[in-house]
Amino acid sequence: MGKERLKSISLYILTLLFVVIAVGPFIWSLSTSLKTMGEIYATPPTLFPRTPIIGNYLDVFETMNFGRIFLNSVIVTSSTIVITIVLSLLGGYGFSRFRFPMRGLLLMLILIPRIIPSVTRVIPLYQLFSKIGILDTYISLIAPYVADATPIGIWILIGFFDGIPKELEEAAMVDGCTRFQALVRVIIPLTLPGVVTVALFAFIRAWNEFVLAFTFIGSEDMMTLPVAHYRVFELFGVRHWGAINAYTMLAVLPIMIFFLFFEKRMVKGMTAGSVKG
Amino acid sequence: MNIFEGYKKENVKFAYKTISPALVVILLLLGVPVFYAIWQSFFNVTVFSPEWDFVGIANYLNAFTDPIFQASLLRSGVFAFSTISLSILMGLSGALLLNRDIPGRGILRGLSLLPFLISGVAVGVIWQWLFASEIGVLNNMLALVGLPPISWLSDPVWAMVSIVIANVWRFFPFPLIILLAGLQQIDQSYYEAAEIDGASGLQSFRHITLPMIKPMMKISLIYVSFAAFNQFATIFSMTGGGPGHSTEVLALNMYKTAFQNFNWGYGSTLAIILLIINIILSGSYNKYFETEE
Repeated sequence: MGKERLKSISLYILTLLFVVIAVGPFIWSLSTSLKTMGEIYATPPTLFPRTPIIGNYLDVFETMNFGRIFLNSVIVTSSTIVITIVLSLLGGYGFSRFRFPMRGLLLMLILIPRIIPSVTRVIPLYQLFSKIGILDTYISLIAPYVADATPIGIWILIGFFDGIPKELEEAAMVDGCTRFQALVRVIIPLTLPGVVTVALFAFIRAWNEFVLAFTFIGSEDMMTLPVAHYRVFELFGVRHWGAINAYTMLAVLPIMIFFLFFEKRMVKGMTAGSVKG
Repeated sequence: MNIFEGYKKENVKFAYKTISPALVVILLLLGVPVFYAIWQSFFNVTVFSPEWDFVGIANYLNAFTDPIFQASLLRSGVFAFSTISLSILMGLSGALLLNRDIPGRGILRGLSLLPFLISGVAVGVIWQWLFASEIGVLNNMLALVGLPPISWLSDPVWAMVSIVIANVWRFFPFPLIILLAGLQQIDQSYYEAAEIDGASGLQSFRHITLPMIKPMMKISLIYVSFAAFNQFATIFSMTGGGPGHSTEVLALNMYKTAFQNFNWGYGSTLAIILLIINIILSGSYNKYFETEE
């Protein structure tokens, strides 16, 4: 009996250690962001700040136009989410409800993008966007992000549409709805869990994307959060670890908040891209 | 022959209307760029000599005699193999630890997924701070047990180790969550039966657990492989490919060819080679797991 207990206690300690590895770097970053420069450079380092300060966060707002950068990320991400949802709902509905020529082929074709990573597209997209003059705009980010998320969005939503009986919209159409009205009023509300999954998938993608944003965005006013994150050393100075970590905390906060509320859906969204096919 | 035969014309029209917006976006932003890059890879074109000069497959032949490319390919291999095996191993350990009836299980599981949620640059910056040479927490821990400090990011070999550590930390939550879902589907009666038959814990693991989570293993492997082979953000923000070229993997080499040396033609060639590696990887995983099943 004692042996079993010992085993389960040591496994529990091992589990806690495992979680510490996952969370430790965040805690360390948070702790540093609340320390004075003197305490950051003290040896041995302190785990918790002796007197927490918010000066590093103020430095972030003073050194850069953080509000604008945050707003850029919000605009790009929310546009990506909305457009992705509309396109995936329409596409998912069309593929689920109708049989039409080349249906199977098109379904396969929209899966191919999964093996075309962003890094292999950054060169041609840069050249094409520069030719049509949309570099350094929101569009230059929203468009490729939507294209990235929509194929997976369609596949997720096909599953949801397949589960809704056809009779439901037929009944609505008998009651005088057009097909489009039936879709919007009756069918789409039933796909809501799927829509949330697609939205969270698009959210993580757009909020975190780096290589395209770094390449297409030239002006400081248009930077998204990851682009400015790359430049923290240049903006705050390589030794200002307090401000650098304060920026990290501000950049990851929205994702953490969403995760708190939507953990299950978010896990679905994160893994959605890979499980299909 | 009419391909529309046997379909309701009205329905077909409506269906195409619903799917065409998505198809147009995908075609313009995924299809066109890929074909543009393939086409361009057969030309000698740079920012300084923008007239396209057809060279056939010379760019591809160049790549395979280019020592910089070969070295970057090798680095990609080393980086990807280490990152894939370690993050799968760590994810599996975490899944096994969390697949027990323990207090606070939901919270512990949620917390261990956090590294996967943040951007690659955030991972890079967080780890740069942990790896910092004189005041970094890792070197302080080493000092605590009496070991000399390591120049994590300024030594060529340790820099490779560092980017692997950071990426394992970033990606282990994926196999963890997928494998945990797999473990939870296994019927407990299998283990009970094995125990009655006198099987050891290790035997149960080999003959029950591993075969049952094989499909989830495949998903994890494919995901982490792609993430590792195409990794750009974490490496670029942590080392920029340095010191020297020591962490310049294929994706970074491609990026530098195009955006630092402004060689579009050769850059496109490298992009296409990276794409081909992705296709081969995906094909061989599917084949391997099919023949195994």
